[in-house]
Amino acid sequence: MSEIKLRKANRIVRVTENELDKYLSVGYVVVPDKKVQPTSTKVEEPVKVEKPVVESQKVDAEPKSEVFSQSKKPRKRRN
Amino acid sequence: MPNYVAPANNGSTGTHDGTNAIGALNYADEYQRSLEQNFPWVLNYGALYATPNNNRFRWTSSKTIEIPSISTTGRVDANRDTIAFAQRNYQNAWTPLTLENERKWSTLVHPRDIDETNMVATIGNITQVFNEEHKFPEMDAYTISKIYADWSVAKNPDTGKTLTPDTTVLTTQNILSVFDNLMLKMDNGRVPANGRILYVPFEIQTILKEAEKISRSMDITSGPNAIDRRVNRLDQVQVIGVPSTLMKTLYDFTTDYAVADDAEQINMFLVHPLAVITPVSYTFSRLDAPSAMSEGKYVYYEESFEDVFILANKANAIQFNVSDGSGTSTSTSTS
Repeated sequence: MSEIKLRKANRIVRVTENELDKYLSVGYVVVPDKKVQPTSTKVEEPVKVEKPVVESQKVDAEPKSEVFSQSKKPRKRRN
Repeated sequence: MPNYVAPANNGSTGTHDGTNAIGALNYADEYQRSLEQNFPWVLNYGALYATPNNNRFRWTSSKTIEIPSISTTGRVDANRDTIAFAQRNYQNAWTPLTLENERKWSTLVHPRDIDETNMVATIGNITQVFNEEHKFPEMDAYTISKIYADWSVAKNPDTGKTLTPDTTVLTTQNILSVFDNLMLKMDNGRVPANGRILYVPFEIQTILKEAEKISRSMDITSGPNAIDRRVNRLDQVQVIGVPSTLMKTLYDFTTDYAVADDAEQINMFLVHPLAVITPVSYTFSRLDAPSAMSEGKYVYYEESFEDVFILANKANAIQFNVSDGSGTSTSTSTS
């Protein structure tokens, strides 16, 4: 059952609809609820674990990119 | 606690290897009845519950207390030639204060739980933990927030203007000036100098002590005649440090207490106990033995009906410095 947030002076209380009239009759007023969900119910995102780079992969990858970048370099014009 | 081997007292026979009947008692296991709890809370605003006002005023019902006051008009010029029209020039008023803070707590305890926990789950232990970890801080939270709520809608009895808290961000440079200003407001309100109490969060107490230290060292270097008056004023009050969570302006009291989302932080609460009244109308606590009704369990129940008010005519004897709820004004010294 949803709770309604009420305030009177220094007091905030959260009541059910059944109890609402009792509190309104003694001067409580309804206030908008900005309640943040409790942290305990928050689903934590799984931690991403990066796979260690295998040395052989690393060696393969680097020359390719170098070759690629070199091949794309514009040639200098000769005067 | 180290293991301790003590003689068995249960009359059991010797062991199979022929040694005397000795049972190993781990006193840490067997006698761990004292509780390992967090440090207990105390009633930080206890001095306000000891105010003499509590026995001074009359109860008109079980939940209403009436505060009497008299006001008179002032003098006017006399006239030797005529007789003035006689009239009543005083007004007697009764201000009713209605208690609203009615709280309860109860628990069941199964007798077997007491035995099986080796007397740890006794009513005495349970209520002690309840008092120290829930009831006392809740009473403190209610006291400070109710006084602030009453005060913020009260008017200065001398000027009729609405009272507003000081909102200066406190630093070691200005904290003594801010405090001095609060004291000055009390002086102008004719509040007795003796008996004033300054409640501050521990963070602000640290700043206050740093400022005091700096000022006192300056006094020495400036010569004996250059005593900082503001430090002397600090000596005139009782300074009490309070956990900052118990110096907020608003709490959620649905169950226990919790700082409300939009609560502000009170950094200084200067008060004379004569300005507040903390009546307790009704208290009840009882432990019922196991019975058929309680399905064989002990039943503990307590309830109290109490409240905290400020006396409107003495509202000048309360002063606040507050900041937004993001935290205390803990700007530290730049010197």
